[in-house]
Amino acid sequence: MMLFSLSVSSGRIRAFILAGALALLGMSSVAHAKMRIGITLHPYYSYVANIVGDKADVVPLIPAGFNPHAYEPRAEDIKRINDLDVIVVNGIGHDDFADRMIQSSDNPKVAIIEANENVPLLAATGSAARAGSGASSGKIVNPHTFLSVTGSIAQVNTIARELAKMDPDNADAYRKNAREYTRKLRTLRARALKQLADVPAGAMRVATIHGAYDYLLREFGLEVTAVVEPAHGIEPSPAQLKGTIDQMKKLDVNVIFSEMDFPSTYVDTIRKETGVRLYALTHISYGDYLPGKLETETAKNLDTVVRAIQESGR
Amino acid sequence: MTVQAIRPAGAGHETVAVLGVCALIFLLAITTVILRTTSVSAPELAANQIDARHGLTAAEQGIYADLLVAADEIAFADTTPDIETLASQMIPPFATDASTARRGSHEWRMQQASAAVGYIGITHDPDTAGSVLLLMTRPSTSDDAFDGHGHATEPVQVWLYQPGQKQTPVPSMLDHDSLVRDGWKQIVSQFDAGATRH
Repeated sequence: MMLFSLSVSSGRIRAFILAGALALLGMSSVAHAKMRIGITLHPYYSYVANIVGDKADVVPLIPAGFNPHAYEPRAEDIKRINDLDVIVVNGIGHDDFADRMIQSSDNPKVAIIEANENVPLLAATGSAARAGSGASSGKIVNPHTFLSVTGSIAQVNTIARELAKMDPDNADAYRKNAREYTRKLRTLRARALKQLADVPAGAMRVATIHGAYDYLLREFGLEVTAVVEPAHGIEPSPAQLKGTIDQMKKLDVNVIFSEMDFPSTYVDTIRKETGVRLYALTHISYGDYLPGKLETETAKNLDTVVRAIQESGR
Repeated sequence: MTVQAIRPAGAGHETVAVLGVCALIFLLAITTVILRTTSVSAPELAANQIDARHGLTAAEQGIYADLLVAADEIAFADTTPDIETLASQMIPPFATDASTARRGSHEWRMQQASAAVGYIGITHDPDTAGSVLLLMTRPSTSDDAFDGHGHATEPVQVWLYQPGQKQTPVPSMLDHDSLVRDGWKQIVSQFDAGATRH
């Protein structure tokens, strides 16, 4: 009898342990069922976080605080690629480091979503364009598509479409979230343009410190006349600076857009010498990775361009 | 008498040998570069096509980008939306806003054929931007998926008409041949990966 009761009780214990183990296994498989999506730049964190909501994890490949224009891959960052299901890339020149990281990782065949596949790309301006001289002339494109609302919407649609193919169980949620997000972005642009309803379309001639803002300014029908920096974060030499100032005077530039996140002292020299108005735009590539970052900073940029147009009309 | 010729001390032959090795390395490098050079062939544009990056004005580039995004929205809709519906949803370039005047003051109209719908924007400022057409095709049969020349028909196309001093002809038919005959050009864009990626 004693023996029987012992065997019953040990059977219960075994069943209990087995059930516990299965539950743990189930929990871990649920955790693994969530897709892990890598991103390279801040705007792509916002895009993907808004598309997937809580249905997938978004993993930045490089820590916050690094300048993506000057980033060099580190071993601890490359390790993050090992358990990713897919990586969303800018792919047209802003995150060229990603390919090298992927090739060096233990997951070199990881799927890639080319976010800019359906965005009509503009040619690079400034020294970036000159770097593509000769056989590749005109092939170097401006990679800052994420700074414009239209460029962002096109990328969100592409990312949502590709993620829906890879994760059919959550496809409807991705599509619905993407539409809601793009509607919010479109509203930002409409609100900005509404403020210009009474401003006459004057002759505003624009220069930018960094050759990044062409996509954003196209939305307002503006074209960039001159770009100051020889490359991102590289200050022009005194001779280059003089050349730029002469060029601005010759082209009658009346507005300069500089960069909020990477201030440079020589910008003041340009302002003093040319007397043009200076406005700072954000490159959306600095600070913490946040789902709302793209919306917040795009709204700031739109407000700045609106202010510049309003003040140039006076 | 024993005559012994003694060559002057110098490194002439070593110099010749070093220069020879240098020349060999140089020739090897040149040959490697020549053999490994591959030409990147840019896709040729047909006479009735125009490149989005290099052939359009700033205003046309902005409208073209907006139309491609608008095509996504139109494709999501259950029924084909008209111009008023698109404008009420703030979808550029159909919504009239401050950028409209800066980008050519286009006047939009919609035209439907059997399997195609066209959104035509007639320019009021040809110097800033030409007239544009967003053409969306929904193939109902497998034959509709190809044009008259056996080429696959793209479901979304954008066409441009640069009228100069002339009036823009409103296309009577929304097919490839009729548009080409009327002087419209199809805008094509190319996706280029980053300079150091491939």
